[in-house]
Amino acid sequence: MYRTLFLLLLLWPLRGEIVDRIAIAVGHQVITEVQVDEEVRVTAFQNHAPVSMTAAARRDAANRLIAQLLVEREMQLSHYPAPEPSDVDRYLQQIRSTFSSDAAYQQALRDYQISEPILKQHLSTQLATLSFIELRFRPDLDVPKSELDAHIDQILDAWLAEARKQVSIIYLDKALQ
Amino acid sequence: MSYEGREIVAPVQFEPADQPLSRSELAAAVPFGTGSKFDLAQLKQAIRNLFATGRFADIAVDVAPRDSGIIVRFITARAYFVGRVVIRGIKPPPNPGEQASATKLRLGYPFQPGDALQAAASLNALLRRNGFYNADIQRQVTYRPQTESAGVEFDVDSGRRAKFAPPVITGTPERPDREIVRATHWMRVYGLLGWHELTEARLRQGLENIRRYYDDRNLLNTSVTLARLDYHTRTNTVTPTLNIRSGTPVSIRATGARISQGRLKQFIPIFQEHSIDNDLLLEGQRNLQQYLVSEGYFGARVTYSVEHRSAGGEAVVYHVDRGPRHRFVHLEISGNHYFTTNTIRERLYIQPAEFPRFPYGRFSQVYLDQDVQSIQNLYTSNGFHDAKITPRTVDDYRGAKDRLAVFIQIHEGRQWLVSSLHIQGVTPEQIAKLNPLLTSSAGQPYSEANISDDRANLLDYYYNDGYLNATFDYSIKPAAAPDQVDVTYTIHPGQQIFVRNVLITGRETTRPTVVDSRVELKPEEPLSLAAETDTQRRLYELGIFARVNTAIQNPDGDEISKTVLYDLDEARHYSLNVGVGAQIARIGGGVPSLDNPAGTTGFAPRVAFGISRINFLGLGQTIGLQTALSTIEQRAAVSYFIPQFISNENLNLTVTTLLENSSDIRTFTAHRREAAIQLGERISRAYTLQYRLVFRNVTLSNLKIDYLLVPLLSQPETVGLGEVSLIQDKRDDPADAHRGIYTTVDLSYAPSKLGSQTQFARGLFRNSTYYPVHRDWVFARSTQFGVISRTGGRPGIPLAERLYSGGSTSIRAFPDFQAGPRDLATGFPLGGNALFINNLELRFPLYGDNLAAVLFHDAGNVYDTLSDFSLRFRQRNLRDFDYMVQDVGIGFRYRTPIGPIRLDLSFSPNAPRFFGLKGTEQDYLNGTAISTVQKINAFQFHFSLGQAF
Repeated sequence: MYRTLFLLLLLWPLRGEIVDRIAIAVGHQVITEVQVDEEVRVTAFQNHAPVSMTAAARRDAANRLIAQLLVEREMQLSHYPAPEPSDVDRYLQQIRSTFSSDAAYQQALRDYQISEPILKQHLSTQLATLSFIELRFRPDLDVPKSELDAHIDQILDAWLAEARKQVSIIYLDKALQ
Repeated sequence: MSYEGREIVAPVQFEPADQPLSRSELAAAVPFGTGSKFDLAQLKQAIRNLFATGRFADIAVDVAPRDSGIIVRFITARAYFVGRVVIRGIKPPPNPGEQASATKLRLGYPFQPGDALQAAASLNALLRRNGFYNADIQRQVTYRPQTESAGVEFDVDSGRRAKFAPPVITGTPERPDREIVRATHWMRVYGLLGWHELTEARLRQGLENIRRYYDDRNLLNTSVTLARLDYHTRTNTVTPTLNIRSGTPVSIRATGARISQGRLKQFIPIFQEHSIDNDLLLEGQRNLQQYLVSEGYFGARVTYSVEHRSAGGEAVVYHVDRGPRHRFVHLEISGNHYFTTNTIRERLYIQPAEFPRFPYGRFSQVYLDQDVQSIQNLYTSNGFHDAKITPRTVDDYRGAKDRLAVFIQIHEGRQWLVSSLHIQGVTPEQIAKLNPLLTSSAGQPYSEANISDDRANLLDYYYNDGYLNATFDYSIKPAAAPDQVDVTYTIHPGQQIFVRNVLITGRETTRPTVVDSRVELKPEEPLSLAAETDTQRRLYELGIFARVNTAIQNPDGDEISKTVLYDLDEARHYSLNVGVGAQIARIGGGVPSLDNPAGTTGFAPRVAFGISRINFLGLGQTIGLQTALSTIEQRAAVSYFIPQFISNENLNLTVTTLLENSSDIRTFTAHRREAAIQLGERISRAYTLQYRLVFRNVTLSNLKIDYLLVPLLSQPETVGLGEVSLIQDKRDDPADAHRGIYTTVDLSYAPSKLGSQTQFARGLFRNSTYYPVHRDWVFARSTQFGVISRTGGRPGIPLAERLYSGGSTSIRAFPDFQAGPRDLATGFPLGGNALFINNLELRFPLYGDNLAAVLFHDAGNVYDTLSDFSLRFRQRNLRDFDYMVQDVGIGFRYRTPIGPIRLDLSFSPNAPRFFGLKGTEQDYLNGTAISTVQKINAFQFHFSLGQAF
């Protein structure tokens, strides 16, 4: 009932342009449509790939954002340390070095419509996730180095599946489900 | 189009206009406004802030150009939370609790539109498991924007419950199908009445019954699984398909000691678990060893082996080496200074031999280790962090073979003390309030137990003041002085939460004031968890609600005020009780024979019936009718009970009217008509006051004494009484006290202004105390004193108002109500005007934990008047009843959940003798009855429930 009312409000009166809205609710946290788009663009930027705003690409991005939120929640609850700003800067420097020049890097940011603060924020989240994996899973693993990554992926997937069960995830944008 | 950096030229708008948050709360969540530059990152944060309150289900933001800038509008959908859930139309099982649980709709939690559908599906699955295959579930969701709640109603037409059909048995059952099917007990009377209805419990029990069937044949490891259930629409039946894989025969025996098969099955859990593996066999080994240890074989060794038989199956053999039987004769604790030996011994499970309860004592190395740990914990929790407890066992103690002694040497070490305590995170004013709650403070012992207590007290304080997310941390560091530490508590109170509203649902016939006046939480006050649960308790204590569910709406939402929910289920309005019983006591004889004024052993069947209408007129009050019918009593009482009178939980009011014919005093039958009103007031946990006004009219019939001899005493009598009672109860366990005090004082006055034909005053005093004297031994004493004094009106106290005594709870030398003065011709008791009773009891354990014994001495009597009171032991003559009757005896108590079952055997060396008659009432009236000398039997027995006092 209230969803219908909400849709009616969105359509009437048509005064402006929707600039952002909730895409996914993860417990009491949200992922907005703008965040999903940013994630698609930042990933493409890091991979030097063209931006593809297909439904599948946005779904993948949404899934990554959910995983990051779950990891952030767990890190807060378990008092894991957040990445140091210097680590984020170093990581940013690595990204910059993949471009032929600073001008090329700046041009790429403009092409992908992302600002450096946004990029840094994404890099910080990526570092936090890596740090969580290191601290949480690696000490318990006793497998050959060649199989380590595959094992970690497996364990992380299992942990994420369990973590998703513990929290209510509501896709307000059904296309992302 | 990008709006980044453009100026917002108007206040941020919210649609619809009716928002769940106030203007100020909305403004606090949105970090921009008129004049701000539009920033997507800030917008994202605003959406996050708003959503984190939990009050929104969806948020979108649109932007439109205006003039040289833009305007921003938030379009929101409000969130709803689970409100009252009602499920109608299901005949249990499943019971209402299971039904509610199946919906997974938790009161106060966010409600999503799909939740009702999912709940209906879960409910349907539950119904199918209970045989309702054709249930039709209609659901209706009612959204209430004012309370943000979504009430869900399920109307269920469950249809007919399916019945079992003959099961299909697959696998390798190795037993006839017929026997297996019979073992399930799914057939009614061996199938003569068809099949039982399917319920989840019956299905599960059927499978368990099959496992037991195989266990009884020693076929452990049998696997019994339900492969599937096939429902047949046409016949409304269900065919279970069972897959059974028969196990192999397992035999079990013990060598080296005689242990019965019953005991082996009790101790070796392979039978309970229906399987055989090493873990279970090891557990059996430990259990057997413990059993032998408890029998005095402290050095018993048990091992086991499993033999595989060539014919199939296994034989489990427990090899027992009991060793000599020991007696644990001596326990010595030394080195303790801070705690007394008794304090330490109270915590020990090992127990030296003590006849007859523990003939060999209670000892094992495991028990001793546990006790050592227990002593260690006692010292550690009081700051003795260096305490060392060293046990030593000595066999053949003092040269006596197989006598065991245990020495526990305690080295206390130094007690660590708190040098200083600092509290961080709160204001100095708050610290002043918190200090009285703390156990740890400068100069007090330092222990983690004390810190744990402090943590609980501090967090309770904050939780009860609305700081629902308060946290506590502590740290210690060595102080300058040796064995002292500086303790720092860090408190993070977090956000204080207030009550926004209190919502009550489920009240159907109960008047609003009944509930509202008991709600302690008030809007805008801090949300106290204690007040929330106190309210729930007070509502339960009204006795009119079957369920009082409480929750905080939107529990995880990040907001400063919350709605508190109470969802009530009114209890059934009528309750019936029917009881059938019998009384066996010295209540026989006397009709029409007068031969036995002291009574002969008699039997009185008894039927009781009661009906109560609770929540009468929706006021939370109860009106009830209680009746009892037996050969010695017919009684009907109508009562009206008002709990928490005038909304005060310490007051209650009872109005009672009573009609009763009673022959428990064997001299007469009393016909009583009575009306009473009583106000009960609980002054404190231990003290209760009762104020009563009683009006009664009593007439007597079946008088065993010549009414011409007592013309006034036996006349119909109207009495109006004002009474006050004070009850002091400080016993540790009212059903079986080990320590404490119990006192009652009853004062009554019957003035002519209240209509009393005889004016009199009466006082009754009783005081009982209980002292633990030696571990589980208790010395108990009780003294009763009563006096009744006429102040005007008719010349004597009427027979029915006089004091009577004797029996299992007073003087056990007498049958019930047989103490005191008697009619000099017939020997029937007349009651008296003064009463004194003194009881002494030594209560001690006899065998194990449940059987106890009592040695007792009773002394006292009912006296004609107060001036006739005497401590004299001897009865002067057959007309003398004013002396102190004494008895000694032994009693046995068997502990049960409702109190001890009691058998008392007493002997009285000076039981009264008196004149009586041989003959019938007619003989007496004709003057042909023969006068004889009669007596109260020196030996009496009393069988009842509960301690004597």
